[in-house]
Amino acid sequence: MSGVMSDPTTMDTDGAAIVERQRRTLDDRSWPYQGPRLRALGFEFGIRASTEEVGGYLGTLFEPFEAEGEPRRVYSFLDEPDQDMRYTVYFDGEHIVSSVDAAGAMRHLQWDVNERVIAPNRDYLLVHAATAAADDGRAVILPAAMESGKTTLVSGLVRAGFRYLSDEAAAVDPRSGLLHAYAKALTIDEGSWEVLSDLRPRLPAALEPFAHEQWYVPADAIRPGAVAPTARPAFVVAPRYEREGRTELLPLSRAQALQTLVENAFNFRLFDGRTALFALADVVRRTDCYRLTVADLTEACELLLELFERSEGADDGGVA
Amino acid sequence: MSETTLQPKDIDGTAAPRPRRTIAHVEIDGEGVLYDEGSNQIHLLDPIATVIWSGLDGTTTLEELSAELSSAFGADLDRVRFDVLEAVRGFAEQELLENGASPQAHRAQPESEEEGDGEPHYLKDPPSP
Repeated sequence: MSGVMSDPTTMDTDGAAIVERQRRTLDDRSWPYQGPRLRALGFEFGIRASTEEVGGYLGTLFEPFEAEGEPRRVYSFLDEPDQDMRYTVYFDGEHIVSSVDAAGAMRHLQWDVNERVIAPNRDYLLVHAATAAADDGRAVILPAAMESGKTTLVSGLVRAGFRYLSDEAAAVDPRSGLLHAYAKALTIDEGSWEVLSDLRPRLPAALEPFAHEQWYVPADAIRPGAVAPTARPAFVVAPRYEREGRTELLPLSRAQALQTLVENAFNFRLFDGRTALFALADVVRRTDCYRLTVADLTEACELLLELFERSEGADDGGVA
Repeated sequence: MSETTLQPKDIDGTAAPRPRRTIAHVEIDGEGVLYDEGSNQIHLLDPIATVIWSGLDGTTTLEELSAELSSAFGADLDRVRFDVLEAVRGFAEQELLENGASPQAHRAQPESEEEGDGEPHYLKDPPSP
């Protein structure tokens, strides 16, 4: 890839010393923007930036993760116009990426946060899925592989009035079976810009390059208060985008839904396999399951809205 | 693959296979879902395969299981035997099974022990989560 340099830092003794030296060098700089402590599914971090404008933008994207206190580990986002690689990101002293363009640096920052939230997580069963909830706390899990249209669908749902939990990971508490929010900014690829054109971020000229590859849209920018608190899974719907197909919702057996959840699980192996399987089985036993072919986003959102409306009242559970 | 993993060629009516110890099994609405902790593979079983899987306890031979299922469902024994062997060979192909008690040792057991309480094994509930 031209214009972007990222390197997994070697963490041997020499590597650790280099990282520590880099961390001290970064700490000694002045930072016009130093954000609050952030907490996403147990991963704690902060963000500081070399310009107030970039820092303010990043702070907005990560706002749903704000927590009390000071961050102990921080991402440093450097914007140095006089450098060939203008944008550089570190996590503490660990080099994450250097990039000639803002979009490349943003992509790596978002990817790195995701990795640190998801890969080592032993508190939640994490399934590659988008998740949204109705105001009454009933939620839909939308498990699917990459490029299946999860973000597009959940963006459409939030725009249609649903509340947002995540466009990346369904976080299931294996003890309670409840869903927790991982409310990262919706990351909307260029292929969906047309159908979600009203969600285009309105950025000052200096920040527009950050959105050249992907739009980063905080759910609260779609509707204030759109991020859901803890929610209870009521539906598992496996979406698949088919440009030329017909939008339809078909029943899926609970066993097939469980298979889909397991196949899309990020951290199944960090749990005892039986514990994880039984926890997800408990989730699907309490849900109605479907397969959703999405050819038209509006129609797909209407089908899901009808699904929630039809089962309203038939469902006596509540959000814990 | 462990030394005790059962191969499809080992499967006949005298075999008494059991699930490998790395397999976790849940049954939902009559369909089975198997997760192999060793290989990180997930398998979905249709209702018939689920009933057969639930009967694999390491002591009941496939011939005995076929007879039990034939009796329980009022189905032709030859047809059931064919289905059981085909399904179990499929499980073995997926490396889901290991050898249970040897058929010889099993047959040497007193008749009363062999029959236990007379309850068909395949009707037992899966382990509670």
